[in-house]
Amino acid sequence: MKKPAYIRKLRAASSGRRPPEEDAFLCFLESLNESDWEKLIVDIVLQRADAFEVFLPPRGEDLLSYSTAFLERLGLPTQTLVGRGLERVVNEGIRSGERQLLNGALFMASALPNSATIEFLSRLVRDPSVDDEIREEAADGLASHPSVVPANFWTTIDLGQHSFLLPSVLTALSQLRPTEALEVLAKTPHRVSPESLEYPLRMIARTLVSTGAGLTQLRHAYRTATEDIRKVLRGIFDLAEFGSITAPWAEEMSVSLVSSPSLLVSTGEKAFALPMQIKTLSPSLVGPCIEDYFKTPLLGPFEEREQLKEYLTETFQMLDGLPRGPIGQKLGQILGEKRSNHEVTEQGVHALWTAVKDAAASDPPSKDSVLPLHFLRGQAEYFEPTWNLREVELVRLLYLFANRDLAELASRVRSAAEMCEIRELTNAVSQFHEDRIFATVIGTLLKNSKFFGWVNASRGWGSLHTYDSGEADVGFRNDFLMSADEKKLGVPVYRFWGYHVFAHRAWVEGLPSDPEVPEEVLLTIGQLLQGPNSGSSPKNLAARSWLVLRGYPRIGFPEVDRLLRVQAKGVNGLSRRNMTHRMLPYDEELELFLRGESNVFIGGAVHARLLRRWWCSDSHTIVQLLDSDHFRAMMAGRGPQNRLFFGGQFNQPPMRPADPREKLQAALIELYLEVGSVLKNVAVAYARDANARRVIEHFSATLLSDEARDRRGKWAFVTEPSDMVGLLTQDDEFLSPRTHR
Amino acid sequence: MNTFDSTITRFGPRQQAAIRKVLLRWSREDELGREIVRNVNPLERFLPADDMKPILAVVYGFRSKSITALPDAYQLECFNHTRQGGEVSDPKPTFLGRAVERDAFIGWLYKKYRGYFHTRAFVRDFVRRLLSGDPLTTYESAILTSPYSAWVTWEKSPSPTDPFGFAVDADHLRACLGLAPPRWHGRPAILIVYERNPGLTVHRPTVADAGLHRFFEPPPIGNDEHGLTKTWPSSLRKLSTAPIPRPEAVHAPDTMERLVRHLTRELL
Repeated sequence: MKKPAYIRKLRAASSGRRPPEEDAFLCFLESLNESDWEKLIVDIVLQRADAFEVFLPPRGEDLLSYSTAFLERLGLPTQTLVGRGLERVVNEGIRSGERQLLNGALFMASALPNSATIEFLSRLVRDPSVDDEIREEAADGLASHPSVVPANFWTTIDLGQHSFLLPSVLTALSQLRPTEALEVLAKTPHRVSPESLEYPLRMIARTLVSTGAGLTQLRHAYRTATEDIRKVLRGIFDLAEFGSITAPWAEEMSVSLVSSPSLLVSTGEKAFALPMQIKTLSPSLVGPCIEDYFKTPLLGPFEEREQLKEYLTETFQMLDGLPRGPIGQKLGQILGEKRSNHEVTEQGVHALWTAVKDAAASDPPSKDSVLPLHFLRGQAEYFEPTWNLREVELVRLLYLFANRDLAELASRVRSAAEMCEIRELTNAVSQFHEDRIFATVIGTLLKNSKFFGWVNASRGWGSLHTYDSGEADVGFRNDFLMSADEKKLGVPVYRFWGYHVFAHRAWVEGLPSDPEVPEEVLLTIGQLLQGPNSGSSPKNLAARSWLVLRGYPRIGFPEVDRLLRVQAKGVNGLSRRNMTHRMLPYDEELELFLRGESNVFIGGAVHARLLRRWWCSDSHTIVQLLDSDHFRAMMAGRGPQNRLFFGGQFNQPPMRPADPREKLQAALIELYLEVGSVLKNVAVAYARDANARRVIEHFSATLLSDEARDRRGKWAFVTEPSDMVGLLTQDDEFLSPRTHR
Repeated sequence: MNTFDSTITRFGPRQQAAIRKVLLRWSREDELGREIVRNVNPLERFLPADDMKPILAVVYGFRSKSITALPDAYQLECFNHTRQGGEVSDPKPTFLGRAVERDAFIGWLYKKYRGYFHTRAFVRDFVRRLLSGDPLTTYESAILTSPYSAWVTWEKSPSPTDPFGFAVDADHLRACLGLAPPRWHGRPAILIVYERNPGLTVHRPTVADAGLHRFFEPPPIGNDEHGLTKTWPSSLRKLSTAPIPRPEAVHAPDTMERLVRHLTRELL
C-alpha cells in the first residue's frame, strides 16, 4: 500500500529527519490540493497514523481538534479547498451512515467561514431528509459564524416543526439580535434543557442588562414565557456574573424570586409588598417569598411586625397544593439560624411561633400536615451539626462524669463476648429518648473498646422484638404490669415518671354544659383552667383521671390506662364506653391531637416537653390535665422501673449453669448502670459545667437522627437542650445514682 | 531487565525472530518508526510484560505484510494498555499541571461539549472566564480537562507549588515538555493547574500511553519514580534558555472541579 500523496509532499517539505517547523508547515498545508485534503480529512477523522505524522499532536491531545486549529490559520483559498473536501466527506458519511466520518467532518467544517462551506452547511440544516442530529450539528457550525450567516436564515426556521434547532437559533441570534432571540425563546412552547440554553442566554442577558431598554425586554420576555422558560431565565440571574444585578422581574413582583438574601436587599429600596397583592403569584414562588420575609431585616423584628399573622395566614393559603412539611421545616431552619446569630429576641420567637401556629390552624393543608411540628423540627435541626460531638470527644467527656472506669467496663463486655464467641449484640431501640441515648452511649463506648458488633435495631415498646431483626439480645422493658417472677428476669436501670396528659382548652371549657359531668369534676375543671397544678388532692386526681378517660384517649401506655381507671373508679358517670385501646404510633397520636381530631393526648416525656414549651406556655389553647407529679402521687412513689432484659442469643440455646453468657450479661448490666449514673451526673451538672452542656447537646442531637425523621419518632425531639436536662432529671430516675463531685 | 526482553521470551524462537525483523523494518521506514522501536526495545521498562505481549503480537502479525498499516494497528492495540506503568513514587505531588495550545483546547472543548457551548465564540468566552477566575457553574465544574489520559507535570517540592514555575515563556515551556515541534510561536499556551485527585492514580507513562505521539521517551535507568519529558533537541529552535526535562506522568481524565484558579493561566 503506497503512502498517500500528502505524506510524500510532507517529507519533501521536511529537512531530513526534522519535521517542518511553523512557516514551512503552513506552506506545506497550503500546497495541498483538493484531493490531498479529502484524503487527509478522512485520515484525521479516522485517526490514522499518516495524519499523526503530519500534525504531530502532543501526547494526550485529540488529533481532530488539534489539526483543525491549524485550518483557521490558512488562507481563504486553501480553506475553500478544505471546505470542498469536507463537503464530499460529509456526503459520503451521509450516504454510508459512517457516523465518525460525518461528525468529524462537520466539526472541521464549523471552523471554516468560507462561503462554500457556509453554503453546504446551510443546505444540510434545511434538508428534511438528513438526520436531525446532523442538522443540529450543522446549525451549530453555522452559528459559529454570525457575521456571514444572515439573521433571516435563523428567523425563518420553523421552530414549531424543528424544535431541535432552538438552541442553535438562539445561539446565532444571541450574537446578532439578542432582543429577537429573547422573543423566540419567550414564545417557544417546547420543553427545554437548561444546559443547552445556559450559554446563549448568558450572552443575551449580558448584552441586554447593560441598558434600560434591554432590561425592559427581559422583563417582557419573562412575563410572557412559560414557567419552564421562566425557570431557565431565573437560573441565568443566579449566575455569579449577574450577582450584583437585580433580576428585571424582581421589581414587578416586589419580592425576590430565589432564596438569595442579597437579591432581596438589593430590591430593598422598593417597598416590600406583601405577596397577596399579587394574586397571580405562582405557588412555587410563595415559599421563597415567605423565607425572604423571615430573613429580611428591613421590616423590623418579628414582634414589631403588625401584619405578621395576616401575612402568614394569607401566604400559607397561597401555597395551594404544595406539601407543607418541607416548607415548615425550611422556615424553622431560618428561625434556628436567626437564633444562632442572635438576630431574634425571645419575644420575637414567641411572636413568630404564635403567628405560625395560628396561620397553620387557618389553612387546612397546613393543619393536616402539622406544619408547626415541622417548623419546630427544622429549627432544632439547624443546631444539630453544632450539637453533635465526634465519638472520641463524646467518650472523653463521658469519662469526666463517670464514677467508674467506663473503658474498663466496656472492655469487660468485649472480653465476655469473645469468651462466648458472640460477635454481634442486637440492642432493641424504641423511639423513647432513654433507649436512643443509651444506644448511642453504649455503642460508642463499646466501639472505643474495640467491640464493633453493637447493632441497634428499631422496635416498638413492650418487648424485645424488633421490626426487622427478630428478637433483640438486650433492651429495656417497663415492669409496671409484670408479675414478680417476670420482673426477676430483668435488672432495673431507671424509673420513669414522665407521663403527661393534655387536652384542648376549648374541649375542657365545653364540658360544664354536659349534664353527665359530676360536680367534683366541674370543680376540678374550674381549677384546671387556672393552671395545671392547681390542687393535687386525691379527689382532684380522681376527677382529673375521669376527665382523661372522658376524652376517649388512645392510651399508648398500658400502665397509665390501669392507673387512670383505678383513680377514677369512685367518680360517677364513667362507663365502659370510655375505654379506648386502639393504639396508633405515638407520633400519629400527637398529630391527631394537634389537628384537633382528639380531645386528650397522653404523651411520653419528650412529646410533653414540646407541648409544654410551645403550646401550653403562651397561647393556652392546650392545658395540661396531669403531669409527672400527679403520676408520682398516683403511683405512691413506686413508679414503673425500666429493666434491662436479655433475649435472642441469651435464650437460644437456653443458658446452662456457669454459662459464659452469664458473665456477658453481668458485664452489660454493670455498664448500663454506670451509664445511667453518667446521664444523671451530666444532667445535674448542666447549669454549671460547660462539658456537661456539650454532652447534653449531643444527646439532643441524637434525637434528631435521619432515621427518626423518616420513620418512627420524628416528633420525639427537643428544641432546647434544657428540656433534655428535664427529661433526665425529672422524668427519669436512674438507679444507683452517685454524684461524682 | 527491560520489558521487551522479559516479554519476547514468551514467544517461540521463530516468532521472536519475526518480531525483531518487523521492528527493524519499521525503524528504517521513517522517523516515527525509529523512535517507537527504540522506545519499545530497549528503553521501555515500566509497561508490564502482560501488556507488552499483545503489542508485540500485533507486530508479529506484519511479518509477511507491508508495514504501511503497522502504525495504525500498533496504535489501536496501545489504546488497550494505557495507564499500566505503575504508580509514581511518593511523595505524591499536591499540584499537577497540564499545558495545552489555546486554539486546540478551545476546539476540543467545542467538540466535546457542543451541546452546551454551541459555538467556538462561547467556548472562547468560557476560557476567558476560566482564566480570569470567574466562578464556574455546576455544569462547567464537571467539564473534563483532557480528552484522554492527562499528561501532567509537577514541581518536586514538599509544599504545593506551581508546576510551571520553571517556564520562561511559552516556547521554553513547549521545549521543556516536548510539546510537538515549534508551530505555535507567538500563540498562547494555557497552563491548567489543579489539585491532585486522591481518587485517581498517577501513573508512570509507557510506550502504550504514547502510542503514535512523538517526543516521548522512557526515562533513563535509575530514574524510576516517574517519567521524564523529552525536551526539544537544541537544533529544533533557538531559545534563550536551554530546556530541561520535567517530571511526567499520566492519569485518567479529571474535571475542572479541582482547578487551582490563581495558577491556571495563559503563557505567551
